[in-house]
Amino acid sequence: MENARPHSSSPAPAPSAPALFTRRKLLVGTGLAAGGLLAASVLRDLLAQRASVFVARNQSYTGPLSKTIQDGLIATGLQPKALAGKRVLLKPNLVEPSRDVPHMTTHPAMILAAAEAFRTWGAQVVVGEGPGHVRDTEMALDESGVREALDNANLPFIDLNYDDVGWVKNGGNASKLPGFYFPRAVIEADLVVSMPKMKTHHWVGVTAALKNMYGVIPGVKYGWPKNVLHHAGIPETVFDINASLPKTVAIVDGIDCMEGDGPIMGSLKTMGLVVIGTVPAAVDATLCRLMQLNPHRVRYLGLAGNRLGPISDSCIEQRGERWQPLASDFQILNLPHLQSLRPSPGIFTT
Amino acid sequence: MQLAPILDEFRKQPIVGYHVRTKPSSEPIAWVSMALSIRGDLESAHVGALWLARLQASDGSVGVRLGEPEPRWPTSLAVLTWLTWQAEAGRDTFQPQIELALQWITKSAGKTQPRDPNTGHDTTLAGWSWADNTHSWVEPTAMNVLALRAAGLQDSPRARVGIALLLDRELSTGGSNYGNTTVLGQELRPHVMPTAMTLLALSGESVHPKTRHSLDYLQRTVNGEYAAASLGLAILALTAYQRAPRTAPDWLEATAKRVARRDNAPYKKAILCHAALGARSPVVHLPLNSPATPVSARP
Repeated sequence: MENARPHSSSPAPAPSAPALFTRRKLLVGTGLAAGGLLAASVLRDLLAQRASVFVARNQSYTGPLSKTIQDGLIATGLQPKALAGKRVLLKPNLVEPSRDVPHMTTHPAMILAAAEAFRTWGAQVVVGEGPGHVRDTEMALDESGVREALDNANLPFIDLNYDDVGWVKNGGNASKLPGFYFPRAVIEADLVVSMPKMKTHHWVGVTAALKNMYGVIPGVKYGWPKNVLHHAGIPETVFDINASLPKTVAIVDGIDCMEGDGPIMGSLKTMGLVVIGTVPAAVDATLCRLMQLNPHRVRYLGLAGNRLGPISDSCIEQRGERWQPLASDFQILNLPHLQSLRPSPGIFTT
Repeated sequence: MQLAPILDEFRKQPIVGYHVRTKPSSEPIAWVSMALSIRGDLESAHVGALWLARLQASDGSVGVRLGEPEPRWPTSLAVLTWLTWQAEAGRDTFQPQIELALQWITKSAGKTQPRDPNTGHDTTLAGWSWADNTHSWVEPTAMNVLALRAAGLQDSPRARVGIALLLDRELSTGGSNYGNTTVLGQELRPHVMPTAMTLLALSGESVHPKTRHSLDYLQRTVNGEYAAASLGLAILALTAYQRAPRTAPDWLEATAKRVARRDNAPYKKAILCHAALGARSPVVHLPLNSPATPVSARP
């Protein structure tokens, strides 16, 4: 697949963002770079407010997803040789699975493909999830079809909702929460792979790689739903959780997506995409553009921009496919806070 | 279901976590202790009850694990554990802990907010929350209603509000989920575990039409391959309304074997034990006949 050149330059980042982020301010990437998991160029790019995102089209759940995932991770700076012996936690979205709504949750084929990709590189792979709406994680695994996939691939699963926890200081400080309890499996992982479903969200607009990390927060400490986070502000806590966990990359299931009343009650929208990146904020920004939504108007992305990675199109190098010909209008509810996410009529502002 | 092997395990080690790899936690210890008490293993049951008593804070609450005093939602399960032990032992050993915990339960409440057209349920009802300063949700409310009923306080003002909340959160088509009914005009889906907990908490009330739908939902949803903890609680709930399926013992047997094969999770096995105990489980057989003088837990 040819590497796409960056789109033509767009206006400067939002005035509220700091002009530069320094190595001290940079909240992501440093841990992975220090561990040799990311190419040094990725960190250099981040310091220069740049990142790359890989988009693959015409993907299907029965296709060679493992190869696509490996291509995407390499294209965006992951160093396969550094993965030998490393602990990789795959974190899909199984928020409230139902057999009747397969487009709500990460497809098992994506999880298996990611596991195969990382195992081929010598990593020790586990799958972990802490569904936010259901206490019975076993039910979530069964309803989503993930259980069968895990058994067939002999993949261990960690129930993040009930795991032992460790305390991590809030690295983002957008909310008033002093810190977070993270599951031991997450703290001990060398790499956490956010594997969301590409969906609209009826409160915050979009749920993707960053919002998916709500699922690493243990319900035994935060409840079902994880109301402590909602009361502290959803955009703020999405930002803070990701800022406190700087060892995450993203592999997005954009094959069968959800539009409309996401993240639970929306409709199927097939895009046939897999979107990958080592800077999840940049991945989410690209996803917004693919959904014909303005990432600068998604509040948690506004917080993330320039602190967790660039969200401006001019700062994101597209690898694989360019997003522009693939963008498709995702239906959103006719509510003011959601309609404001549309780009200005006639112009796709970035 | 063959209870003896599982209870033998718990008799030898009543201090358990949710999973084999995790630290001891209040909820699974509570379920184990209650099962051991009902089966007459009072010495082992006492170990778990004492563990919970040692975890109790000065305000009466009980946290999730040693060294983790918050959140405090397991307090209700601790009350059920102590009451069960006392009822079986004929002694009031844990009465001070029970009274202190009931005082905390009576004073604590989920955060309310004004009604919102985007949210279908009554947000002004103060049930119980998972964590302090957050909204009321179905399962913590159900657990606290069960604790109050177990203590003979089913007619207390807090219990009545809890019951009103649980009825309010039942979906029109039957069943409950974590606690939302309609959001932005769409009714959400039910789930087995919160439906079962709601039904257990409401089992002392006359059966509301929505509750009848919830029972129907459980009966048509669960089967012998359903997730263990949900299945166990569903069978308990159906037992409470004399609607347990005849195949329940076979389902529980198969599920216990499946759990042993997969993750051997203590929490799941404890719930299955209760389902096998059926009407003798303390969450079905309420109030508990504790020998202590009536508790006082003024609102």
